[in-house]
Amino acid sequence: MNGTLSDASAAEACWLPLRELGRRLRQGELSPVALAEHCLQRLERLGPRYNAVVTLTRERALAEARRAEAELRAGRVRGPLHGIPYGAKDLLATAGGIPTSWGFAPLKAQTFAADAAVIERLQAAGAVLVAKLAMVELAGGMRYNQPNASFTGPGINPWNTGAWTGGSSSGSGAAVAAGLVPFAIGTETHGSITGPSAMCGVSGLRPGFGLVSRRGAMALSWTLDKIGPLCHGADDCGLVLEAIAGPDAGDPATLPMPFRDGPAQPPAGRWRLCLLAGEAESDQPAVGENFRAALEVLRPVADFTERALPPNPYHETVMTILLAEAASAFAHLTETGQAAALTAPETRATPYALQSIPAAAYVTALRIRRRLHRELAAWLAPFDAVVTPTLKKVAPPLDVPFSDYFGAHRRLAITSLGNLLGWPCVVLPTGFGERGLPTSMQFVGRPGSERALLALARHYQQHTDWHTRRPPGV
Amino acid sequence: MAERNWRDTWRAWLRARFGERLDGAALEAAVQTCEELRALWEPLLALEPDNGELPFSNALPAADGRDGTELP
Repeated sequence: MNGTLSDASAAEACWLPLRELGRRLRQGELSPVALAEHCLQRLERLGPRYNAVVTLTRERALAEARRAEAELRAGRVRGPLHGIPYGAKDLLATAGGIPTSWGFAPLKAQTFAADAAVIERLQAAGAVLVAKLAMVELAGGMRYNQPNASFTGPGINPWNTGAWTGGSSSGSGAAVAAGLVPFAIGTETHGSITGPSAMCGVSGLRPGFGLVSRRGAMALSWTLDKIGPLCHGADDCGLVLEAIAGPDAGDPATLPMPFRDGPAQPPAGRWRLCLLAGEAESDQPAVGENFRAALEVLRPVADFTERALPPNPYHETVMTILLAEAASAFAHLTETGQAAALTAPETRATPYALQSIPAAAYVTALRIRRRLHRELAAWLAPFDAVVTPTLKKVAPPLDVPFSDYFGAHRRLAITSLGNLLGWPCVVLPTGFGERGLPTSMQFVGRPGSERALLALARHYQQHTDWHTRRPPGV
Repeated sequence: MAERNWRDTWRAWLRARFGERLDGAALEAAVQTCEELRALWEPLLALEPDNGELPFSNALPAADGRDGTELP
């Protein structure tokens, strides 16, 4: 096994599909220790360019990499991620004195006694934690309206350093897009995996409720939070989801079964895809053009039907639940005066105002969610997935408020609905638009359809190369 | 209730609830945010007159520790 990476290997390692990277590690063509060193160097050198890194976990990374190297040499293979480095959003607890800041300045030195469940599972799978990655403070639950909303600064997009990364998993998106890590873990309550994946031109997977344990993850909204991977390709997302999913007594919302990825055929022989009326229309023409080109790639295996979503207050319902739960999760910010330490000035009043949401409104929103579970399941029944552009626009400039750039809602109704009901989502890059920034589409399916969505996504990526493109200067 | 009355109500409530921790511009920002939140939650209360839709279960925890409040 090589102790160091050749220049050619080093240049390629963070861009390889995870299956191929894992194969090279198992075959002894790459050394886990050298690969971890390589990622640490890239994170150290390029991470500050994108405000992507909070903490390099050098000591832990090298210990995990040495263990992986010894085990692989001895033929003890833990799985396809054995020896592969990754970064984790800095709201996932890490033991050993490694801080977990939640992106919030007063918590820069916060530590936990135990790893989050996801970190435990990746360690058991032999993956190597190389960095805690930047995020929007408190996962964006304080209603930030511009990119500079973390003590690490705004997430800077590797495709255009004048543009935002998306949030709240900002560092996860940037670090994968810039090839600083082969994959990263993000979290989503209302767009925090799908947004950064779309804006940074990577593939992302938002699992449904109950697939991945939230034990040890910062709670923003106990009934909406989800954890998932950001990777170069959809196949990578499936491998990572296999490693992190499964029941956990520490999160009673987890389902009693693991996730197994693999081939999936559409039940009707061809994929039945729902297009949402009007969702491909944008004042940025490339968004729609690239989406329509993506549909042509799918057309040999899919039939399309255009429908409108039933009119329901998706945004209002998901935000009422999210913000009412955040009011409880972060009540201490008002009591300790820490609200004043929020980086984004427009959010400093939010912790106080959140407590004005009536309990009756919260419970009503939960009841509406139960009704929508039933009604929207029936609406989706004729289809295997909904397919839409992930966002109406490419990533915004760093200096423009979101409300000016996106209008009233920066998220599509399907994003609010998907998060409200726990419908899984796979995000894929589809090309480039204004200012050289990526465009993207998403497949959204019924609960439990992750494997089918990934199969469809693999088909798309077998016939396109957008997910293999690299930003300039990396 | 007119918006002005809502603002007066929020201001009075915020003062009573948080006292000197909120004043001046911070208090007015919180009043404005309360109004923005009201635009989210208030329409929901008008939508759900039927009381037959349970928000969650109050079943006792089962032997496996699941208590019926798990996400669907």
